[in-house]
Amino acid sequence: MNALEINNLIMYYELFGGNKLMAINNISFSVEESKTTGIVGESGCGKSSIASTILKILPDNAKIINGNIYFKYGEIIKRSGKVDLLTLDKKTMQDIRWKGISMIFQGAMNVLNPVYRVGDQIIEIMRYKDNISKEEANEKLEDLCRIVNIDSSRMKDYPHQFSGGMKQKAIIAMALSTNPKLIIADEPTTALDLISQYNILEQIKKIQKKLNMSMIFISHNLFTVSNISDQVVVMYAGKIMESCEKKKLFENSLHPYSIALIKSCLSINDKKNKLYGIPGEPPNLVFPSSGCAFYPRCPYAKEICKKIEPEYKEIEKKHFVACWRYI
Amino acid sequence: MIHVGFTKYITRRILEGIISLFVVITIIFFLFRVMPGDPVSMILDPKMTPEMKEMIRNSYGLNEPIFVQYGIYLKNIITLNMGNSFHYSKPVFEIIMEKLPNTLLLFTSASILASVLGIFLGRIIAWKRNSNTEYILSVVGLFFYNMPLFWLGLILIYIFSFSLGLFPIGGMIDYQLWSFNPSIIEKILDILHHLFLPLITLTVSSFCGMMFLMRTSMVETLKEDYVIAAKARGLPDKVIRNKYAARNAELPVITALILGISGSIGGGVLTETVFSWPGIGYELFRSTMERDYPLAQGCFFMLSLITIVSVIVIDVVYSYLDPRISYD
Repeated sequence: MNALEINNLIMYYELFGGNKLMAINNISFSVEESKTTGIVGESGCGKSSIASTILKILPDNAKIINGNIYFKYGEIIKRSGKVDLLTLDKKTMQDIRWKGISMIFQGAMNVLNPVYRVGDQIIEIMRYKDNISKEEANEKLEDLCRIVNIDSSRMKDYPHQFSGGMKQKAIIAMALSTNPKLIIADEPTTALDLISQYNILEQIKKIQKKLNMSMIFISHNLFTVSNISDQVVVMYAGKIMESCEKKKLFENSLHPYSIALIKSCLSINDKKNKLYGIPGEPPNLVFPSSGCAFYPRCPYAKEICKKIEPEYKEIEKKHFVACWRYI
Repeated sequence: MIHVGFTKYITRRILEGIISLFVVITIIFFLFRVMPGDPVSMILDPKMTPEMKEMIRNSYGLNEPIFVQYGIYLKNIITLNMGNSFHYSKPVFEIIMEKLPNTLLLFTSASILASVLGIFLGRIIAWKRNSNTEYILSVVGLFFYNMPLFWLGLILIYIFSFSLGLFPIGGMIDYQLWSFNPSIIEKILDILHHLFLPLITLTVSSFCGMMFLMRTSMVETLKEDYVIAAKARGLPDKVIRNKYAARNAELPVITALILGISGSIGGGVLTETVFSWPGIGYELFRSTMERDYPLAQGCFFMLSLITIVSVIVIDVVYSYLDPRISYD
């Protein structure tokens, strides 16, 4: 059963002068219940735009022109079965937010309101969403502090008195505070050192199991994504290139981009090999060329890749790929 | 936040204030000396003999060299002895103390009203951008903002006092009423009745600046990550608008308020003159026209003091509003 299912989603940003930046170009993927789907790709490939689209917190110039986002837990807004988030009105969407879907934001520096105490901001959202008393909220805050490893006395501080890592931890605590069904983690550990990264990821995994949460984990770091995910989605230029179980991605990745991505990661085992880089640059999303988005950088590019875009197809069970080599 | 560094900060701010005040009074002194016209001509009788004229000039110290005059002036200001007014033949300090509460009443209430109104309306038009509300408020605000203050005052007097007879034409109290020993409530109501038009004039012509500042500032904070994050958390719109976007947008507006207060002194002089409001601004206008040096100097001194003190007060209030400001 899928907690979240995205079908043929197309979203673009309208730019000054009427140009369109195709940020999400016909994307479909799903998140299984209490499992994690990781999204990996380089900067600007549309990873974070997916997160904002799901929560509907896009800027005014963003236009969604096609697709559905089905969310399983209609009971949160007193409906049965799954609901299409894109058809919900503003008020109903507000009820979905943080009770149904919460988010760990990227770039923690400015996500907390600078004029209120950190603890008060976490308590505020718990009290709005769960209708609990101040005492209960305080107790829960203590628990959350233990989970993300912050001294609970620091919760009386203002955001500017926190270090970057502590802010990130506070934001993680905030995302967990209302026991949401689905968490979107957008580069949640990027601001942290490796040891905290590991600890927090382990904690998130533990809580996820305990509370039966589903998760979308977004990162440009292939190893972080593969550490935590069950299913991995590889994105490039607003499109999905390949999507499969994480084990398969490392053992039997099919798309040339995925292969190149794995090759460009450092491995502990081979010390002699030089680090591999993918030649070329990511494509322009405002004036996309025809055909496959990756063909200018693809070592296997054929004549057809230039002209026609390959279809995103299920090659074997739960393994999708968009490449002419496999059609 | 208030802690140990606070006392140190206040001391520093007060010292800075004293230095600014010193600069101001020096400028005032020399400004009056280079002004054309002879102050003594105002009090001298043409029938007086030249010896008598000399005597009077001597008694006012006007024959001393200018730097000696300056020294005497400084010493007197420090001891709050600002001399006698030529016009009233009364100590300047006494006159100023009599007028000061009237000016404070008008200035403080107008500043507070204009900023509250400006922040409130700015918040609305920033939240509802490109709406009719924004359009109408902008046009109305700009209309009054660009209107000369004294002209607006005259128009209001014409409509509400002269034609409709709703409010008194000028002054602060109704002498006829006060001579009958009215109760405290009647006195307050009477003052409010007189205060209404000058207050409206000052407020209406200055709220617009605050409104647009608030709007611009809030349009920026609406794009901040913490506002988007608050939206993502599904907090009610009212909470996002007031506690997240507006609360942070107010901070630069408060800074502008500091600058606005010094700017409103000029407006205050005009308003007090148009409405014959018995305050320091009105006195300043009259004494300058009549070359009543001591009184004009005293009024300038007092207005500068009000400005400097209010700037320090707002600075301190600011630290309560923005926890990131600390006094170390």
